[in-house]
Amino acid sequence: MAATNNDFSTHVATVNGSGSQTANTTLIRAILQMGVPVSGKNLFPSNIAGLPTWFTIRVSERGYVARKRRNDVLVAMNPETSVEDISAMGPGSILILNEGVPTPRIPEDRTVYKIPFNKLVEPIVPDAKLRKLVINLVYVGVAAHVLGVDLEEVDRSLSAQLGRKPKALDMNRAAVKAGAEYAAQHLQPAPFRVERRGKTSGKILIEGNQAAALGAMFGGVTFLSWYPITPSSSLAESLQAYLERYRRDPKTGEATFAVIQAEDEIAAIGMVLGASWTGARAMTTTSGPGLSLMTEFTGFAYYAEVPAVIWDIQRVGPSTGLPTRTSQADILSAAFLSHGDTKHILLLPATVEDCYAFGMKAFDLAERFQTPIFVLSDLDIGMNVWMSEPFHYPEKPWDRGKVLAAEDLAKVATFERYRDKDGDGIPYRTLPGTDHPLAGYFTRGSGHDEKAAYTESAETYARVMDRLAKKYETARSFVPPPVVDRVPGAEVGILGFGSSHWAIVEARDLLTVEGLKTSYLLLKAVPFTNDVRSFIEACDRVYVVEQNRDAQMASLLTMEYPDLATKLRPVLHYDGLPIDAESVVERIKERERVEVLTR
Amino acid sequence: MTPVETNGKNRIGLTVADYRGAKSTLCPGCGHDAITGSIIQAAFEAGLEPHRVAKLSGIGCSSKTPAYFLSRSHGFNAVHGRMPSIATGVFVANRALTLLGVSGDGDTASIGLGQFLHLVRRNVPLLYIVENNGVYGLTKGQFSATADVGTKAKGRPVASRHGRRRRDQSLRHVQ
Repeated sequence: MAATNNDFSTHVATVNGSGSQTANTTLIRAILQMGVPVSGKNLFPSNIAGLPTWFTIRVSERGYVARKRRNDVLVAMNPETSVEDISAMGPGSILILNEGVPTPRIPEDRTVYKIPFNKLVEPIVPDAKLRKLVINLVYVGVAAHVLGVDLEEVDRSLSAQLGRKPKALDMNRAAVKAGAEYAAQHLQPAPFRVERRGKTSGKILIEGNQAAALGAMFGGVTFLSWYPITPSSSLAESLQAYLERYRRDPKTGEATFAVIQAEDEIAAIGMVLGASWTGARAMTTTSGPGLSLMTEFTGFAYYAEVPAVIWDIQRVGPSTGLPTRTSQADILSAAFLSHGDTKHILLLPATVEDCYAFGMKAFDLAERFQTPIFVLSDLDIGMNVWMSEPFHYPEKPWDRGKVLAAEDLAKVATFERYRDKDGDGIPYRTLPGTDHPLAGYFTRGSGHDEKAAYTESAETYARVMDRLAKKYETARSFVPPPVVDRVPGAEVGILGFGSSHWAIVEARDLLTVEGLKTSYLLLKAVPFTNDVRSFIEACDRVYVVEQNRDAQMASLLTMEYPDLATKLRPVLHYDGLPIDAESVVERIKERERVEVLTR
Repeated sequence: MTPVETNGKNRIGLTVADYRGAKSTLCPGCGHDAITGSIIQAAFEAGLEPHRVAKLSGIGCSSKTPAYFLSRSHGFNAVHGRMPSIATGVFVANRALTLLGVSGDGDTASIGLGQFLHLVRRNVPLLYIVENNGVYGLTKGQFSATADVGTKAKGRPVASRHGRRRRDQSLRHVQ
């Protein structure tokens, strides 16, 4: 069989808590160092330790980083799942099995290697407890040999991770070596090979939640309040770690930030509102149930006009749902989170670069518009490792919005907190502590007039609500615009957002090969900018790709553009696994057949 | 503290009027208004700089009162039972502020007991006034968690400890 170079997926099945992360990261980095585009996805159950966990490494010369539906190489370490794992593999695949794991009947067109992993690791690690953590490095050695990953790169990658722990490094090195030597003696090189290229020069590997944390730090966050919940915790924890490291006063060592782990998500958003109202750049991170708990306070913040940044790392709901699986099903909840008429601004990061950029942008928008900004990331972007261009140092100063200081107040005769002075729907605010007799005002969630005084006046209520709607209109020209790729002659458009992006990129190439040209709009924010309307208008029909059951983004588009609603065709994926290109292609082709038949 | 007053001015040159707020909308004779009056007097006598004070409250009759004093200070009338989290955020963001929280028995001991306990646990420095009248005024007369056992209100069941059934009350009405 001819070798398939730089285009395959390796699936590793291990046990949660067995130190597989070091092994997987070692392999990924080694492949990246060889100049070949690579991505990794962790599929783990809602469990602390001891249950099955899977890690997929996709190697793709063309830079495709979405999940590949079919895997080409399996490393089966876990006896609990080996039968199912092996059965899922297709013709021509390579199966590297831990000797002794149960197997189903394996068709002859699969290449099977049974490796005595335990025997190989025994002489290296006498301590049985520790052995469990090192055994995975043996498969790194085996896989490196079979797949053609340069052992020197593996060693560099391992040193980068464990360089500060010489004992652990030695042990892990020995494990890699044992695996590689055994493979060299007993195994044939696989028909799936990694071959050196120069396509990853300067690229970094990072998880979306880490990128978001970096962005928030560069965006000047000084306050974080959060409640632990998967898959958002790693954002809060990364941010805390960065702040501890980079945001202490160099002279005194004192923190120039504060982080509070709140007693629940209601308190978390409450603290954020208190801090933002006082002038801090404050944020919280949450997922699913936490978002629900923030409902009342975010409605308050919308109406009383208090800034807040809320990162929602979406997972599968409703209720507890599948806490460790990915989805894009909080769109409608977040867009209208509250009782009463409420419309929120949403940012939709599709890449780790977006996570970084929106980490900063969210604060500018929150302070400019004095309202909660929801950043809807998801588990796939947030907790998986992605290849990226290095991030850039911010080029522009922060936008602190319309804040009047004491010297500003000295120049005016009156200050009215909710007066639309500029005609853009955005009033001016003052911060507590401002030393001027005009500065004070009373923030309330009850009916208020331009002076922030209590009122139940019918006219005033309606006027304030209209101004808030106007403010939302103004936001259209401030939110990140979509990225549009209009292809001449393409009748079909695809509209996507968030982590669906990479599957769409790949799907478009596959569709082009099959003769279907598509234009593409990658949505970055709600409210929609005019580009979105023009795009839908210019296309004959638009496939809206999203990872939820109820076509939530298509519904928002329908509400916004009822006249264009008949052009929208939902492409939905909602099984908790990251969306893959083949699924997108199949659904679009299926629907296209109907389109052609009904003409 | 002995106020230093000359011509009705306190030590920072402000009059009592500078510490007043909007007209109260509470029922005539309400004890809350007496507390409001005392806060105004105390702030005046202490010579508090209004701009350094943040007034915080939740929901309820008592929580409305920060609108009736210190109108030159910033006020935050939050959602029901959640003033402590707002106070915590304000404190962290600006340590130079003096925090004055006003809450009621429902806001603190019923819906807000959780946040109240965590505020105490975190030792957030603020003056927290519970205007405890054992009753929900805004919603007209229901009992709060601090109502005395055996209290009778017109046309209402008798207040009781949780789980202690009384002859004249169905379990549905236990506070």
